[in-house]
Amino acid sequence: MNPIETYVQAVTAQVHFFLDRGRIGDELRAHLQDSVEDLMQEEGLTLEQAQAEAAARMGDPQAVGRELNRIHHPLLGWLWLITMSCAAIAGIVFVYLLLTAGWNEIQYLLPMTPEHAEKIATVNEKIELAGHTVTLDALWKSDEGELILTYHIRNKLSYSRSGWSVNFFSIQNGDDSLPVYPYFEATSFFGSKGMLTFTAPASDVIELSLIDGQRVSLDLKEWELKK
Amino acid sequence: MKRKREIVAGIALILITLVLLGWISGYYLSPQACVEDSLRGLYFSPAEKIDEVQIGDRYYYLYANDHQYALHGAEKTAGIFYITTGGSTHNDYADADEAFQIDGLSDGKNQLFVIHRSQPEIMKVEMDPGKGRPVIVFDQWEHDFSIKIQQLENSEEATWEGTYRAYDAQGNLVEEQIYP
Repeated sequence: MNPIETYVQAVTAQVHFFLDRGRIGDELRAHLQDSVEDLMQEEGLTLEQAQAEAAARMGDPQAVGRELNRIHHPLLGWLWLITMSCAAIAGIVFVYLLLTAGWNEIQYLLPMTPEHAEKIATVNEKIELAGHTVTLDALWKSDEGELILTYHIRNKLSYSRSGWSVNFFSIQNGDDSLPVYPYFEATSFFGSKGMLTFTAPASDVIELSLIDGQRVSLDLKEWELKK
Repeated sequence: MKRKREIVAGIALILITLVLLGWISGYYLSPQACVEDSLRGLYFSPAEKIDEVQIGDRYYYLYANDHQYALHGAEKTAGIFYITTGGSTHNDYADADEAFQIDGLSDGKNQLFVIHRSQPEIMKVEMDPGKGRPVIVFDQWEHDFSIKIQQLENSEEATWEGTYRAYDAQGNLVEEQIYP
C-alpha cells in the first residue's frame, strides 16, 4: 500500500460515521494527489518520495482524523441518515395520498354514466340535507326496463373523516315495496356520487325518504321523459 | 450545515405526512370534535349537544335536534388523539307513538341506556331487567333525555331486555314497555 493510502486509512479510521468515511477519504486522496503532482513538478521528487512527503506535510493522521470526526459528528450523521430514511418513506406515502385524493376527485367530477342504460331525462333537482346539497342529476332507463337515478352530493361542511357512511336516502316505490338504497360510485373530499336503480312506478311519482326525515315526492311527468 | 438543513426539511416532510395520515384516518384532538365529525358523516346536522359522559378513556355524547338524536362515543388513543367508537342514531323520534323511547349503546366496555320521554309528565322510568338484577332508575332529565351507564365485565353482558315502566310525578304508571 502506498503512503497516501496508508495515510487516508489512518485518518478515516478515526471517523465514526461510516457514510462519511468514503467521502472524506476521496477528498483527502484527491488533495494528496494534487500535492504529489506539485512536489514532483516543483521539487523534482520521485513518485514514492512525493507521496511520502505529501502525507507527512498533512500532519499526524490520528489528529487530523479526530478533528474531521469532530466536524462530521457521528450523532449528526446518524440523525441525518435516520431522518432521510424516514423522510423517504414519508415522501412515498405523501405522494400516494395525494395521488389517491386526486384520483378520487377525478372520479367524483366525471359525469355518471350507467352501463347498458339510456338517459331519458335531465333532472337537476337539488335537495338540502344536513348541510349538504344532494343533486339528482339524471334519470336513465336500463336495457332491462328499470329506472336509474344518478345523483351527486356536495359536502358544504368540512369533510367527515370518521369513516362512517350511511344510506342517506332511499326510494319507496309504493307502500308495499321495499325501499331502494343508493349505490355509491365515488367518494372524494368534496363530495360523492352514485345511483339508485328501481322499478318504474305505476303512478309516475317516486317518493324519496331522506335520513333527516325529509320526504320528497318527484313527479316523473315533470321531467319531460324521452320516450 | 447542509446536513442540518436536510434534517430540518426531512422532519418537516415526516410531520406533514403524519398530520395528513392522521387527518385522513380519523384521528382527532378532542372527543367532541370526533363525535361531531361522525355525526356530519351520518348527515346528522345541525344538532345540539344534550349531554356528555366520560368513563375512563371513553367519552359519550348525546346530540339531538327536533327529529333525530344520536348517541356516539370516542376513545382516547396514542396519548393525545381520539377515535370514534361508534354509536347509534334515531330518526323521527318526535313522531313516535310511545310515551318514551328506549335506546342504547354498547362498545364492549360500557353499556349505555338512553330514555327519551315524549310526554313531559313522565318524571321517572324504571327498567327492571329481571333475573334478580337491580332495577335501573332514570330520573335525571336533560332536554327530555336521561342516560345511565353500566360498566361491563365482558361485552356479552350488554342487554337492554327488561320491563320499562314510566311514572308521573304522583307515581302513577304512565306506560309500560317490555323490551324487546
